[in-house]
Amino acid sequence: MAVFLLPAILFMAATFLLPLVVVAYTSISGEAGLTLEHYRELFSRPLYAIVLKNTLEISVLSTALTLLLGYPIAYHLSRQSPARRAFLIILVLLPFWTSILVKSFAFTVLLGHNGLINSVLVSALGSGARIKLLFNRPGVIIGMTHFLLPFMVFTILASLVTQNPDLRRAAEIMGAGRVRIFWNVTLPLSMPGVLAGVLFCMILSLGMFVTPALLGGRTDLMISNLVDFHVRETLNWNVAAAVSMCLILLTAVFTIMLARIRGGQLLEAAR
Amino acid sequence: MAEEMLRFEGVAKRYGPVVALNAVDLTVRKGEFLTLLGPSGSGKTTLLNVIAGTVAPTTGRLWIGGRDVTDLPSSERRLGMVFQNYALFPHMTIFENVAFPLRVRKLPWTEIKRRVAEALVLVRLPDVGARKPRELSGGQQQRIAIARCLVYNPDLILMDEPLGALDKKLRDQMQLEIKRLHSNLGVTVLYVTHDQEEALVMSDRICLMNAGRIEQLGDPHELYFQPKSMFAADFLGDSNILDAVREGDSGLFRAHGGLAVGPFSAPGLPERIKIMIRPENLTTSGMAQAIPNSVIGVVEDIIFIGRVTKIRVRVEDDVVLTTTRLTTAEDLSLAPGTLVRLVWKSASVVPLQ
Amino acid sequence: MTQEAGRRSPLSVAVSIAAWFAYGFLVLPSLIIIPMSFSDKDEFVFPPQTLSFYLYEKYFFESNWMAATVESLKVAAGTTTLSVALGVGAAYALTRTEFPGKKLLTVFLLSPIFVPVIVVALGLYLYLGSARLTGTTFALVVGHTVVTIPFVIVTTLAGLRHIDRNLEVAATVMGASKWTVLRRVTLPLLRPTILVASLFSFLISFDEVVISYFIANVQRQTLPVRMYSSIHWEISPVLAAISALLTGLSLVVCLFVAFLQKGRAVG
Repeated sequence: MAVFLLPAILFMAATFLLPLVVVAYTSISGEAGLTLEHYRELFSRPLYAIVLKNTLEISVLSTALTLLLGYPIAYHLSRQSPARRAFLIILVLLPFWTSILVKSFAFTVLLGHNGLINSVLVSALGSGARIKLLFNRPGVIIGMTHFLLPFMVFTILASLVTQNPDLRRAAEIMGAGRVRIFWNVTLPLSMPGVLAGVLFCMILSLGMFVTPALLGGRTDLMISNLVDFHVRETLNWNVAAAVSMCLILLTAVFTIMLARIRGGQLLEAAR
Repeated sequence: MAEEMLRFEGVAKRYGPVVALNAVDLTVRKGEFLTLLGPSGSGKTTLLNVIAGTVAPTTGRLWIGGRDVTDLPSSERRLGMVFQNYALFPHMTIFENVAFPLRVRKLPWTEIKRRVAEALVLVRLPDVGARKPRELSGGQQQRIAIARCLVYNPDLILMDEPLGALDKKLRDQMQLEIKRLHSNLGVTVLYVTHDQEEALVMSDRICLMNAGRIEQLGDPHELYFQPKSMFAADFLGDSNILDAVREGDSGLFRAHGGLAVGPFSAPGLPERIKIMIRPENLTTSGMAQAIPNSVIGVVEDIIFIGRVTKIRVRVEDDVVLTTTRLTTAEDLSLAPGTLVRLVWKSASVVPLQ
Repeated sequence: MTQEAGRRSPLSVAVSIAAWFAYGFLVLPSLIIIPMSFSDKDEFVFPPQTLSFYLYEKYFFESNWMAATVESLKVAAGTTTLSVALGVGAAYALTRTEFPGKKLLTVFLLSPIFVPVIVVALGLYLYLGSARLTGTTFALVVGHTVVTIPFVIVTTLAGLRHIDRNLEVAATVMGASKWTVLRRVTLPLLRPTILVASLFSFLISFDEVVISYFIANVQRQTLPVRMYSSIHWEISPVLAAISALLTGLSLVVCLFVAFLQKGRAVG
């Protein structure tokens, strides 16, 4: 039976592991053998520091906003009967399964100079009310938050739904009000789920490519876009590879943190 | 001597430091209904799984139908197995479920149809072939599971607490049903349960297990009337267990509570033993005359359980004895604090080792 | 805890408001393009004045878009087949066998979820590029399969957990070989799960853009890559029609899977 694993392992080794090794190798290969010159070039240029700062800012802000919007949805869904929940969750599933390009396109329409939002603002408050929401930081953050929301919702929902309902009932019988129950029982118990959601969203947003490319401006380049830049524009594959390795390292930090709190769960599935 | 269908020698199972099964030897005769009885953790399920082949023993060998099957996979041991949750294939009809082992054996189609029909008649569900398992009740599903076992004539049928998921009335019915099938067909059955009543009702022999060992092996009467250990006495039925000390040389003992018991035919009993009297073997009698094998006490508690009433009586040495009997009108007017005389027959006292 | 009789606390009202605002934020973007797709002109008009299929016709009759769509369909079909073939078997082996290093292997097989796509894309670009395989349908299928296999494995693992192990034990005791058990017991019971995994795999591949962007070339583009270029360089209103269709596809898959799950819960 274990032989069934072989095709998948071989495939992944050849098409996933090997390319990663190639990237690692490319990042340190130079004309005269192995070298760190590409990394040095990376760290010597201010562009990289700026892009890193951008990336972290955007990721942190988007993740925070996602948490702010995502927790209420997760909480709301967890309070529904299973039948209603199955129905409402389609509102979250649909964007989850919608192509990111469709979503990006929709945002260009929504946030643009003559887009939906500005049209509404202008017709209500006059042409001075126009705000720039596209090809700048707000645009990226809005688009990024929209992308991350379903992930955050599902993670927190899973945690909320598996809470023991008797705990809340016991607190209620003992006289605790709704707010206290939420603050002292539900919220603390959901913290692992919140943490997992935050880490997962950070991992996803650090590596984002399409959203900053389509909704951001020139000052909103993220690390992925830098990789693309080096591959397409400067044709400097070595630096592109070095940037990629840095990105992997960055997301690895969060992945390891996530593995610490949730790794057991994922592997439980394979038992 | 009847032919043996199952034999194992020195079968033990260890999980690291945990011993699930100590070296166990057992022989099951052909056509016998043997029950592995014991509490959880007694090793009975481990033993069943070793026989089934889902667990490999750490040591020991086993033979089924004369063949050494220790190294054979489950599929080649010619066994049948009935599970507590029926394990009927939900995606197949009843007919396909029962036909499955025959199709595995590549029997011709006409033969399969005939045998399946026979099996369904045997379990008295001849018309459900086209239905799916979820359309049947729990009891019906279990009967189909049994039919699926019988249809291919395995050497040995294993039953793993098959009635555990059914309610009491249904369980009682199914016990008799299984017994009926067993005596009509003469199949060899190895039954696992923790329910001592079930074991007593159904078994030719009971193998009582405790902490990975065989505590006692014998037919139901033996185990009930001559338990060899405190565990055995306590596990099957209720018991009054008392300490007793030898008195004199003629094999008599004096037990706590002032009971004079013995002489016992078992040889070589030590100075101090434990004795056991079943509650139903203690009767109450009038206070008037002194009788041998009796003791006077005060009624402490009267517990009415419908058909049967339990009376707890405090006697000498602050010992409390329980007597049980079919409820009578007098029991309803019995009150705590009444003096009663408890009487027993000397033959119903069992010395334990 | 379901709806309770009596007054609703300020907390639950506040939560509802926040939740519905967030729900709106989630679905609004996908929904507004639908009315826009019925415009009869080559520009964006909101609110939509007409109900015309002009943009849809443009999509279906413009060879560039159609070629990209066909390529996407081909790649998605190939990816689904390959990832289901590899992933289902892997998931089955993971649940039915024990061996040292199994945890590590599981992590490895699921790791594409946690590695930034751009790195995978770059790796495949360099790796396949040196083999001169970029720009082929084969390369796209391979690249997409890398990211869909983890989904297939996770979905199949979840489905396998719902299958009663006793069924396989019963079949084995009755004499069935491991192959027979797999073929006649496990796989039939796994059919809904495999279907769900296939649908998800197809959708993921059909919408995949980063890897495709790197290893496709001008002649052989997938639909998402073409859309990306279009949004990046010159926005074509045809995108509204395409987006509406893609949203419809996502909706159909969502509803179908929800229907399947419900069927399983009932039965």
